[in-house]
Amino acid sequence: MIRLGSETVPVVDCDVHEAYASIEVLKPYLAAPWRRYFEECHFTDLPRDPYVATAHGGRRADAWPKDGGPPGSEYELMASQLLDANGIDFAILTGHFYRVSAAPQAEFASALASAYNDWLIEHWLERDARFLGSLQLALQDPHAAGREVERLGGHPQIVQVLFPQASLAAYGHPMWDPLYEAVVGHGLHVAIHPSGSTGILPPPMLTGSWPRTYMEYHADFALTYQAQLASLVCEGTFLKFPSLRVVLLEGGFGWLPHLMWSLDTHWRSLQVEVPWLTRRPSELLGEHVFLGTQPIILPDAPEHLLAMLEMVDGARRLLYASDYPHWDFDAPKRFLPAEVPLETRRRILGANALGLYGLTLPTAPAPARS
Amino acid sequence: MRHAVCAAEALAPRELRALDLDGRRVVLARAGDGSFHALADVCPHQGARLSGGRLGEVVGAAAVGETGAASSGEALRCPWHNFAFDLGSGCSLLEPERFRVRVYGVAVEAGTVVVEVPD
Repeated sequence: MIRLGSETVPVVDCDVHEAYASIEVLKPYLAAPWRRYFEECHFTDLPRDPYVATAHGGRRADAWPKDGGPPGSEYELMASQLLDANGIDFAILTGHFYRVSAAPQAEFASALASAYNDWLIEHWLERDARFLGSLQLALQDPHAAGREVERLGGHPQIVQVLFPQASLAAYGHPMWDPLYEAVVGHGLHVAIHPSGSTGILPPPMLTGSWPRTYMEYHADFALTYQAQLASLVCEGTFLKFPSLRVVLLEGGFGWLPHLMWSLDTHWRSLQVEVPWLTRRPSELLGEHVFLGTQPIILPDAPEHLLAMLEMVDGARRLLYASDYPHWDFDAPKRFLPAEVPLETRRRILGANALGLYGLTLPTAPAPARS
Repeated sequence: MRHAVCAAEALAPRELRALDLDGRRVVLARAGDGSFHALADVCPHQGARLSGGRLGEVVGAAAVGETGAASSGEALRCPWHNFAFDLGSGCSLLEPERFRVRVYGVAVEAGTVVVEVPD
């Protein structure tokens, strides 16, 4: 909880990256055939994005644990530096393991994803009730991914599945339908995160090529989100799965008005191609899509941000996200300009996420931080 | 003002004809079932002449992702942006509250099509 005006309001951080010190931590959770990949075949880690993250190597410079390991790998530091210091009531863990979908060998990837989810539950979720989890899935095999949802989707702290932003087929393709069925069957949501992957996945902006700089790559996240949402709308995924909710992380929201109204414009003329789409695309997006705020955009004129918040119905659809421990961390008390109305801030900071994920605050909340 | 515009057999089903009735531009449409309809010959979107468009079937969907379902009627399609308007009401099929074409009275009297427009 944090102080906001005269109120004390809950904070839900929707994008927190836990990490392992080494992928070796997953070995105990793997069956023998796959452990051999570590022990005999020198498997060291999943494919990583090809950039040098030019701000502190991609992580907050003050988030490195003193006893080693990368930022996000030590519970005590995360609890004090993120949760306690910022009055965070719930932190939704998103990890980095969505990169598992970039591994070529689907069975190995599925085994790794299961191992990671078991490790996540044991070492993070069971350690602190403030943590909520995202199931990591190996999307090379959507049916296996669906089985993983069936296996762990009922865990009380699992609230969503995590998809990488880049995908073998756009997320509206019917090949994903069995997986969506499993996801909504467990009352879970789908969160999508910039994938930071290479491997078998295409470049994340779906242009067929990689930009030359990390800065350009980061700005392009918004482009891929537009492609994924256009697919989900046009393919009718939201009509097939009315309870499906999709949360887009780390791509901002300033681009959404263009997509909403661009899809509406094309729908008026081209609906004959997608005759099942009897509702306006912008309505479907408004009903089914939620967006993390990070990285927050700061127009020169604060009123432009206010106008944008109104256009995207931000008071209802935006979810605070810090992206801890990454370099572009947004602090809950400071990330929105003072011109944003208190009620809008209250909803974005926590109320929207509490409603979306059906969360209930503990009866004795942590002391408010001023 | 009533205008006798043409013989009924002058228009085939699914045919459109542009009319100028004392300076008022009207599109006369003969539907696939033989009925006549008269609408303002201007698209409320960007002003295209609807008489340059076509009468087309409304494509339905048996289910999400399945095209080719039986037609659920026909609509007047704008020649520019393909907006579809209901012949009877003049309303856009997709956004009837937002886009609407004015509709005029039309009758066939002794084999002649008569269109009535305001004075």
